[in-house]
Amino acid sequence: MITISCFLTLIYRGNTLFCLTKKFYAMNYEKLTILPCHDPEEAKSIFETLIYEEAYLLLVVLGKDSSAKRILELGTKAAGNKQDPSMVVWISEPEVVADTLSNLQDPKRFLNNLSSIRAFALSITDEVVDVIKVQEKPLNILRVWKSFMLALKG
Amino acid sequence: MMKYVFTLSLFLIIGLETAFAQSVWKLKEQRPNNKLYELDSSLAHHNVDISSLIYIQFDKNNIRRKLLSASNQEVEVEMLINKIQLLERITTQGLKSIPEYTQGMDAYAKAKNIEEKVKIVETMGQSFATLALELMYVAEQDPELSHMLNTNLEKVASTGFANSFTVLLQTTKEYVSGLENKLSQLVQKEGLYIQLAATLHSSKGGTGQPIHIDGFDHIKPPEYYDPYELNLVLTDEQIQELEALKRTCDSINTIGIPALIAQKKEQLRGNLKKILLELDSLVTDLSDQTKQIEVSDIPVESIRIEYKTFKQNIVALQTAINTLYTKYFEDDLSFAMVFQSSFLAEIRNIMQQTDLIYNNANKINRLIDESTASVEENVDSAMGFLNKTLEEFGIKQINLSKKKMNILYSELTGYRSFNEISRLTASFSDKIIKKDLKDLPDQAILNIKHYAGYREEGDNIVMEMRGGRKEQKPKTIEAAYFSLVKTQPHFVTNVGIAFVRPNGANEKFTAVVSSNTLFKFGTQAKNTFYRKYIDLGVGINVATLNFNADNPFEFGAAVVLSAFNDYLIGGYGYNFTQGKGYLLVSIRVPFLHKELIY
Repeated sequence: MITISCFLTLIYRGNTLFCLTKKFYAMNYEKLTILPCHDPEEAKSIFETLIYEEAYLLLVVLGKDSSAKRILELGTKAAGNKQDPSMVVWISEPEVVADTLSNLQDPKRFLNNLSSIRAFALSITDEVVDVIKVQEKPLNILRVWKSFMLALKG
Repeated sequence: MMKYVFTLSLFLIIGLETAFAQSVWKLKEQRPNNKLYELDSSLAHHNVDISSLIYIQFDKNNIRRKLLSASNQEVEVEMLINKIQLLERITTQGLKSIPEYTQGMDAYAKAKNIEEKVKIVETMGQSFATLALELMYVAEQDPELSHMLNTNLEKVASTGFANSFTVLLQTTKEYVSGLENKLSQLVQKEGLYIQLAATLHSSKGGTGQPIHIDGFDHIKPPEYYDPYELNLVLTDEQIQELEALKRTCDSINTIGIPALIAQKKEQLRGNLKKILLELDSLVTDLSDQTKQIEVSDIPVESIRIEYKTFKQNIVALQTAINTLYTKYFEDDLSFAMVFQSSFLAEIRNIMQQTDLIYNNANKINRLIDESTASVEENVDSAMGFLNKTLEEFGIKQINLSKKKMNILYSELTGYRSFNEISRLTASFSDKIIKKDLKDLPDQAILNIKHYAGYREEGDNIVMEMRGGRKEQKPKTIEAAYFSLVKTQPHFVTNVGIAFVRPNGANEKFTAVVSSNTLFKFGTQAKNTFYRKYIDLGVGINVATLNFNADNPFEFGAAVVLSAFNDYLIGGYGYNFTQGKGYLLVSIRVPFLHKELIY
């Protein structure tokens, strides 16, 4: 069976296409950065570059279960087009970048319990402004779009 | 439960904030030169041409909401109205925020470093994101709206934030139109009606003249009058003014200006004193009458509260009158003092207090009328006495004093401020139709040109819309105030005192009565500052001169220029009887020859 991570590694970044896993997930790969969790150093370096050296509104998706993949699908779509300053980051194994996550500006302590969180939004000034919980319902595009708007508002 | 309370308070709070922000009509003015000007609907007061047509375009949705708000106390209706207003505001402001965001993102793409990019996103995305989030919060409490937004966002999300928000706002508009339909059904159930009336108020006071509005009343329009028509014949009022001017000229030429000013000062002092004494005696009488009824004697709580305020206001008015009297009348009253802002503020204070008392008295009487059935007979005597006191004695006199004070103030200041105009009301006689809301046309015309009759610059028109449920008393929904100004080129004829000096070495200025026929230029600009304050004119002055003291009548004519609303006129003329040229200067000082109180 083909896994999403190995399939994605084959994909040249910048294309939009359908990706096959157990279910169909339509993703916009122009708006997606997948952290290479098999290489922790590289994953950390890419993640910190995105946070501190690029000006993006980030939606960071954690884990690899079906709800994470659903958020990835919705997130890459809700992130808009090239003009919008938005990006989705997928961290399939969050523990790889645990240090970076614990150093984020999080005045409302959204990230206190990482295991209950499926995704979070970072503003342009790298502050955690919203979280999508594992059990959160309804999980639809409107909800994910709201995360980007919270990130835009800062 | 908490969710419901939150939603309710959100809609009520935001709704209250926006409930009366929108106007129920859009107004356009068509001037005699056929040009159309859009009047700012956020303002209640407009300067319009004396012969214009005012096109009123009704915002039916807003009228319906305001009527329901005014007539229905049900929370469900209130929430529905507030939700519509909230979503309308988000939609309007949201659509405006999109170009700013798009522009910001173009700049973001061109920015060279991260700091610049961060700054752009932080500034140019703010209103966009705030409004989008407001919409999200409303949708979270409304599953139907949320479903509609989500379905449409699914289709367009990848086309960008700007396009997505545009689609979300369009979806919101569709949803709002569905809510409007719901409201429309409620209106039919409630049986709501509206009335529209307009009244012309002369700047000289007196009762207003109703103006016919097609489709809204059965008022017979008065005879057509064209204020732009050249009229060389003096009006009765101008002839009377000429006679007064003649007396003033004689006084100036015999006793001199300082003595005349002293005379006028006495007259002014006398008149003011008279009206203040009248008012003082009225308030003292009213105070004595009400002393016989203690607040605790009043059996109905709402009347008791109003009566308590009424008594407090009587005391406040007495104090205000005493303050004015002791401050300005114990010493010598000077003209300069009369025009001091503190003096005028004292007069305004008295006017406001008189207004309050008048309103208190009216409200008490209305409450007594409404509660008669519920009041037991044994406690009815206090109420009956109070009713009689106010009805037969109080209200009429208070109203009379109120009007006198208003005229006095207009005379002192020489113009009506907007606060004063806003006190004027339109009269709703039985000739004004109670129109079912569903029969309300899209547009109506306030035809000042054909239906307002005789009018002068400076007069005011009040247009008022009111309505409610069929069985209820109507409530005012909106009012607009129009001050009439001549914006087109025209001739004016006026009379005044002129000071003339014949040619010659030892000649002096003497005061004479004269009449001016002046050509006034048009004002093309929307603002009427020029007409109200600059108002240049050029024309002919005709004067009855007396260069030779023996000659009973000498006739002269001069070419003159006028400025500052004819307050300053100057020119050069020729005395045809004596065959001599003369210099002419005229300064209009209304209080020198006018009686201060009608």
